[in-house]
Amino acid sequence: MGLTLDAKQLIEDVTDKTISFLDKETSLKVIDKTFEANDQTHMDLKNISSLISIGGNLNAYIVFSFDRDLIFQIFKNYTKGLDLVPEEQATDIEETAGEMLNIIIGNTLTLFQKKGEAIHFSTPIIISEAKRIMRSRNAKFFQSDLDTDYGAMRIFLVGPKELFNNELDYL
Amino acid sequence: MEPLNIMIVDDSSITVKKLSKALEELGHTVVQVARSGREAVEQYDRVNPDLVTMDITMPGMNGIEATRQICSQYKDALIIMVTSHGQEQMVMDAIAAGSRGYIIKPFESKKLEESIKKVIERYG
Repeated sequence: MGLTLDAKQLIEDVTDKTISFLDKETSLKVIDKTFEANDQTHMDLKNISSLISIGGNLNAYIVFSFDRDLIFQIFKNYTKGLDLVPEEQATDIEETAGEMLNIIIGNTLTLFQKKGEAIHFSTPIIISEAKRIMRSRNAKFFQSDLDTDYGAMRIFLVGPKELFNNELDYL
Repeated sequence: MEPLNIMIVDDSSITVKKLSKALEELGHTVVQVARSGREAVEQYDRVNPDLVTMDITMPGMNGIEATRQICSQYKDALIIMVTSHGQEQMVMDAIAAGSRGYIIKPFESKKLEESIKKVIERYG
């Protein structure tokens, strides 16, 4: 199975798990969903993004990118009832963005597992600025957009990962 | 069930806070938090917890390797994986390393309670 087919299936499954996570864990409803099956020419990151690199036969990056208001609402709902320090709120919001991605990817990869081989992935990296990343000839970007009453989030699948260094700049 | 002294091993501060709250509501005490597998291995002997909750994906040494190292040294160590990984192979690797239980995030308090109870009844 080639990368394109794997990528499409992967981003669709990640999108479905994300909608379910938002509903069950944060009581936020997704009111619209769009999926770009064609290769994207660029990746526009929103205010806060989290990124995970997946190893094994998938060999790709997954990025969650959030509008500021949406990630704040996710954080607020997800941490309801916890004793949090206001001075640490910015860090806690970033941690929420990272942990949400970690949980969703961990849960989704059960659908891609092969007997006898576990798929590992990295700890999340946080990018706390809006940024446009253009596509090089050999990279593939796939994108899905989720809209809520509090703003939007984008899910990107980027592969193959060898095209990027750890700062997500072109090599 | 008797209240337990529990060590949490997880690099996510949000998960640590959620787990701490759930464990304390169940009557247990969180005696130590380790942010990586390496920290857990280094702190286990001094803390001597009744039970450990262990994440898998962490910077540096991962939770499966940390479980393997702790269990090879302390045969009666009780470790429950609390992780987002649901893959069958990952569960098998964790059990082979010495883990006694496995909970998939996002966890529910009830599931956490049941898993701890089962591990204590069987191995405690």
